[in-house]
Amino acid sequence: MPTFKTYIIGFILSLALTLAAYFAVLWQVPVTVFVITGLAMVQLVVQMIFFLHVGQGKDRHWNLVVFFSTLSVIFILVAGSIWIMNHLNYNMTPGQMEQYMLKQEGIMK
Amino acid sequence: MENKLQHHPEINDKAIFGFWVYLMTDLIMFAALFAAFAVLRDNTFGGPSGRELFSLPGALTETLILLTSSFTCGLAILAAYKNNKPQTLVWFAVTFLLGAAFLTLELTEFSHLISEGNSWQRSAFLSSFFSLVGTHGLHIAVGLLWMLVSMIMVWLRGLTPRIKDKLFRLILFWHFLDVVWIFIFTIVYLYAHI
Repeated sequence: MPTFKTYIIGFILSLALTLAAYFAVLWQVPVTVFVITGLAMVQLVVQMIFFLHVGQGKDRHWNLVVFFSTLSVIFILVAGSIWIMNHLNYNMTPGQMEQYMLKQEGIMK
Repeated sequence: MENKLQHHPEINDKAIFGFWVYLMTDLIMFAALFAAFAVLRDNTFGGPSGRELFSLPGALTETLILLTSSFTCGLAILAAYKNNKPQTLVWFAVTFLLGAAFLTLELTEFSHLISEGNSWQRSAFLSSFFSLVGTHGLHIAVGLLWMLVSMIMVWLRGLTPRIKDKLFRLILFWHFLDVVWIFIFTIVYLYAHI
């Protein structure tokens, strides 16, 4: 069950992680993309534990089962979309898609 | 009969589990919108990109406001579990005001974009941006309405076990929206400025 302590820890950690991501972009630290993606993932875990109380309480087993199956669906959805669409882009000469769209939409450019 | 139901712990847990399943399906919908945004973010059709449109300090302000509101709604549920009705109402009121401030900032940003001709009709990138961020904003608006109704319910009927269960689902929803926003902040606003 939630307590004041878990909320204050979760709040301070989330604040620190948000500001860290913000300044990582402001100062353009090396491999910024991976740093801020990592920070977002850590914050996801922090909020899941301290705010959403995942894995605590009676039905924790089923909550986690649903959560992880959702994560796998999300992975397939997002990674699959990016993969397929980039692959389509790669197989077309530059500007081909735009020309096709302009023609289909009847836009003169 | 009614009283027995309320004190049966299993019913409470099942309702929370059911609500959790709803949140997870909602998460899949957001994932689809994130995927659309990831695919279309470079398709600006000669229009402005995210770097030119989004202000980082503005996005940070929104993030901090929403994060604080997530914290204060936690304080509200703690007060509810201690049967402290005035404190519960005060913390929910603070959460409501912070949520309203967040929504106002977001709508200001939207109207600013639209007034400069950068609406969802401008490019595929902006269509996916408005779909993703707008859907989150719509959830916030629904959450605010729900919070208002809950506050009236607490005010009129007090902190009965049944109402506490309802409040718990409300704060789960609110925390969930904060989690989704972390990824909007990172993927939409921070990625644009790398």
